[in-house]
Amino acid sequence: MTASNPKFQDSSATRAWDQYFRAVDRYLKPLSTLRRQEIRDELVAHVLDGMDAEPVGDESTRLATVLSRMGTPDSYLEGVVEDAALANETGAGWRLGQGLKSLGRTVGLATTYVLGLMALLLAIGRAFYPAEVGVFRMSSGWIVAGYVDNEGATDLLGMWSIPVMIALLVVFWFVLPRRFDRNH
Amino acid sequence: MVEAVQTDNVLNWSRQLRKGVLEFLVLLRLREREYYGYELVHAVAETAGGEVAEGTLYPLLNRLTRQELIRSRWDQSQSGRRRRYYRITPHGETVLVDMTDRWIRLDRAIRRLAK
Repeated sequence: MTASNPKFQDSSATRAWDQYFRAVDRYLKPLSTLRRQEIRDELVAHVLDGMDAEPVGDESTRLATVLSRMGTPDSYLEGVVEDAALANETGAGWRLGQGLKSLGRTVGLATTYVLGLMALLLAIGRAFYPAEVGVFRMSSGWIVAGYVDNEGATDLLGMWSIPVMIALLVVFWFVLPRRFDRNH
Repeated sequence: MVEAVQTDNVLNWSRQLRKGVLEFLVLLRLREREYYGYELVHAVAETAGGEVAEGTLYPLLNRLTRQELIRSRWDQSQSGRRRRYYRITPHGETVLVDMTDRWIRLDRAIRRLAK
């Protein structure tokens, strides 16, 4: 037997409940149906017990108080899923997904650092060797970037490229890595 | 400014300390009697000074169950609500004796230093 969702009089309480338990279901997805149901039922009982114990307020106020005391589902369910993964209780698909996510993060981070380094080198090179370093259209029609013998080549970048490269360096070394960390 | 930083340091330290002893507090409470989730969260929060995010106790209960330090059973309360009741296992009691012993020794050592 599983715990069913309560019937609230107040529609905003129903919305808040549904939103919270949708997030719970999403976080518990990697677990087996039985484990998922057990944890969900326990959280449902906890929230309802908490609401009963709240002395004052309408349904949605009491629910909001209990849910805020609980914390967001990701703040505590991550540990449950990690423990299940360590005990090999999560599905192979989920583990593969986690592995790919981690690989994607590593490759993404490495790429941003390399691109940042290229921007730095281009900015320095452009400052000291503006005639040889940059992006050039060669007499053959090819577009070449880097340090080149510019005989008959057309420079496609002006000196404005230096601040642009410095801005890109900031993005690649300081902004994007933080986003990777946040999404981890 | 310096005072605010010091207060922050103490608050962080206090939060970490509570987090660290949560497992110990849960086992101590469950040695008293059987508790269901909500009741246990509040009993532990009362001992820990009230600042325990209620959700955080469930991963801990889950882990302690895996480690066979506690066990649980589902039962229907008088109100008809299904609840999961937890109790300490004999293995949990043995571990708790060891934890208590270490806690007392640490407490003595700190008291000596703090004099």
